[in-house]
Amino acid sequence: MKNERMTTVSEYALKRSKRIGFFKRYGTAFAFISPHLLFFLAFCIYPLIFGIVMSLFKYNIADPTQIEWRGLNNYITLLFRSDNIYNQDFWYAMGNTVLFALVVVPLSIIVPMFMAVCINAKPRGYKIFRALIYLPSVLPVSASGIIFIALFGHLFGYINQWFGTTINWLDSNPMLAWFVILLLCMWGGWGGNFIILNAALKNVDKSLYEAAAVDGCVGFKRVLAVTLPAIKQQLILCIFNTVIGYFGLYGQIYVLTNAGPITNDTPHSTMSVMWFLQSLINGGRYDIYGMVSAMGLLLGIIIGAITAIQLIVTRERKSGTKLQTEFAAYVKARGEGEPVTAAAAATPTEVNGNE
Amino acid sequence: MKIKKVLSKLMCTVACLCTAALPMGMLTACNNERPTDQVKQDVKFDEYGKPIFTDENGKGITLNVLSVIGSPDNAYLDTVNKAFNDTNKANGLVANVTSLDTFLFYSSIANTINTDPKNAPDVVIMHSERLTYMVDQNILVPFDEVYQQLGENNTFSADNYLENVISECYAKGKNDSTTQLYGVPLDVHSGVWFVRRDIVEKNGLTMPTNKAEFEAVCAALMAKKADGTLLVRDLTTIKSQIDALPNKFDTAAIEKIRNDAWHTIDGKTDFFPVEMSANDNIESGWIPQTAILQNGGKLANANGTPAWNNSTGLENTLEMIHEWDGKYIGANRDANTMWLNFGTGNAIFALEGPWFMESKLNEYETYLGEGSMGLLSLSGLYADDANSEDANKIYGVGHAICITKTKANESMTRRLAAAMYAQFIAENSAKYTAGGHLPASKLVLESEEYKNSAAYNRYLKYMGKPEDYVMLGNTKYFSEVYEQLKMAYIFTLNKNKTGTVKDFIKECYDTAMKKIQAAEAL
Repeated sequence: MKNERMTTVSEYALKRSKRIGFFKRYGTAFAFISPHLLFFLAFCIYPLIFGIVMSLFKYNIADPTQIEWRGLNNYITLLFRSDNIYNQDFWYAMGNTVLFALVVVPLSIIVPMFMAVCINAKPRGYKIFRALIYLPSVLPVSASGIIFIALFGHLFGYINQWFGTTINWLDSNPMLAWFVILLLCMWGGWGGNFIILNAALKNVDKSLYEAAAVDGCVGFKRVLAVTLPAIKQQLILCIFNTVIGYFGLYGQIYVLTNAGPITNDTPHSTMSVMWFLQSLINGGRYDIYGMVSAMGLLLGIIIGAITAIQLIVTRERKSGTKLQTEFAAYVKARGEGEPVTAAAAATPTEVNGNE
Repeated sequence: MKIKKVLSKLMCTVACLCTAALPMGMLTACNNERPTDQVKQDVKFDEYGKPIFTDENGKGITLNVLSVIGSPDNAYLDTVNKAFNDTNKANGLVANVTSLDTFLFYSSIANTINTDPKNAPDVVIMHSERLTYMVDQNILVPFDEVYQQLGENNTFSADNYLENVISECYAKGKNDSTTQLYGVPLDVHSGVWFVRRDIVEKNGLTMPTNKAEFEAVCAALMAKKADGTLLVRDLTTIKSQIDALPNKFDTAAIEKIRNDAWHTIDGKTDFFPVEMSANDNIESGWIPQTAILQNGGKLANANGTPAWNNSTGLENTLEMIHEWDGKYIGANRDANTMWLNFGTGNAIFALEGPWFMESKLNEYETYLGEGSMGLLSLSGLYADDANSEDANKIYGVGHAICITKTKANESMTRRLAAAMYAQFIAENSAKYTAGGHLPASKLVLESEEYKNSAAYNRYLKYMGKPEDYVMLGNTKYFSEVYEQLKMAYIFTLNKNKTGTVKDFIKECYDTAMKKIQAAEAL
């Protein structure tokens, strides 16, 4: 006779209740997130992994059965082989993209922030201004690009006609072309940040302003000491989104300059990384996809590194009890009464945030 | 607890491996529908030796044709396609043509073959200069073996096609021991100078036929402008006046409007005889190429690399254009202003694609009278020696009809249907040529339908001799050879670019070579 161990009724009940408990606890949540999860896996995670794998091959879309293993060769070319034209063009485009982001990102935060502060003061007709400020963001880049071409066109542009000038904005000096691209980016892009910052400003606790006013903190000082710390999280969100967005700069360049004007150094003086990748894909070579994937991933890594630096710089700093302990020691040394304990000193600091 | 942790780690590792293995698997094995080199020899013939295209259920073959020929000439292609369907419907053969923009066309072919084989095109009508690259990429199948299936009923012969045009349709695939025919040439064409003949003749000048005469006409027109004796007339003004007439057939009133419209222009008018732009306009794709050929040069070497770096013909022509910039060519023009200035009479020569010939002739002849607009082929216009044997050569671009390597096309019957389609379209293309293309088939060139057609007599005969057209050649580096040559031309007219024409050519050649080396090292 086999010496089998029987499952007791209580053990069975426990197992069953655990199983039911799992579905009860997570089932609804899973049902809610599953549509997004499905699309996230299909359109974000899967392409990402597929892109990583592609970047390790000489991948040919015409004949994927004849793909050839390249290992890290595409990355080595991009990182170290400066005589290779893909390396040269990629880093030239990257330089353009980074420089442009350095200029456009602060402006894309400061200008909407200023407008949000103004609108938040609720001047007369502020609702109309709020709608007008957001309006350009409703237009697609192709449409707003055509408006800008009509404005900044050389022969028939409105700007030249209004001011009686003959400036070739888009096809002479690269700085002029970048300026028009910047204006289009600002004009078409400030709406999103404006809405976020405007909503954030509305939610700033009024009692903070009152407390600041009691302490004599008014005017611009109040904005710096109260408003900005209060909307810090939304500001960080705006900075993240704007940096990531402008590293993918493509539409504005495609519509306005198509990476021109020609200069002595390059035929594509306003080339961004995304424009360069698109031009390679549209160039008719079927075996370029591995290299393009490697470029895309390098761009992703660079954006990731910048985002990580931003996270570190803007993270919540918790000073712990170090300052309080030092202060207590200082008070004790001066003999100004009983020093507070570190644990007791920590409480008000935590309440007040990261002072 | 320990076992639980180990198990959870193990599951994590397995999940990661599975996620990574998924695309790897896709890369290597998921393309089950990817065509192979196997061909099903499934052709059946009737008692007359003709192939049968219907199966036992009476279901025929519907060919999916993808064409790069866009508006307006795709309408003419549809006419020929309809004729094919009408002729072959009874045999169970039908073809549906879809046109696609060049930008999407070439990537779509590769993508659909691999990811959507059921909708992949059986036949593609593409630019023949890209054929060698497409063959190198294993996308096309050769015609020779397919036509051989027909045995004695085979009516296809390469001799029925212009040798200079069909030569671009031969290529050597990766598994081929010799070059094979991978496309049936449909047509050949080049850019055409549209000329305000009415203005030229009104000012006592004649249509130029070579480089020296072209320059002489430009100089004479500019001299007359300086004197204030240059007579021009504006199409738009005349058009609005004629359209406002109560009786559109009042020939006397129309003639009066036309005659009264002549006026002189002063030295301040923005008049320049030649319309060209520093942007990537169409002339960059015809003039430098033709200049090389007319001066005894060639575009590509035998190994496919650019051969134009030492062409004196190219250098001289670009020097000439550089010199004309601001003298005969208006500064800072762009492609959008070309027809505008041409219409007002502020430009006399405008280069455009031949597909504009019919519509522009209709417009100018309706409002300015017959013969008001002239057409000038590129023949002889860029030769340093007008009497040399190469002087009449013209850089030509053509379309070829090719069979794609798809899963469905592994059936020889289907390939045969596609081959018969290619032959029919190419050899019955008289109506298609009305869109501004010279036929590649000698049968069409010699046909009464073509020679008596309104299109031939109105404009096709001005496009130069089809035998004088020279194609880019069999290079798999089409993009590098062609696009960088265009860039040399663009640099020549660009105000931001300093240096000599020789520098521009060298820079573009070096870039082309760098691109080729980088592509080879991928």
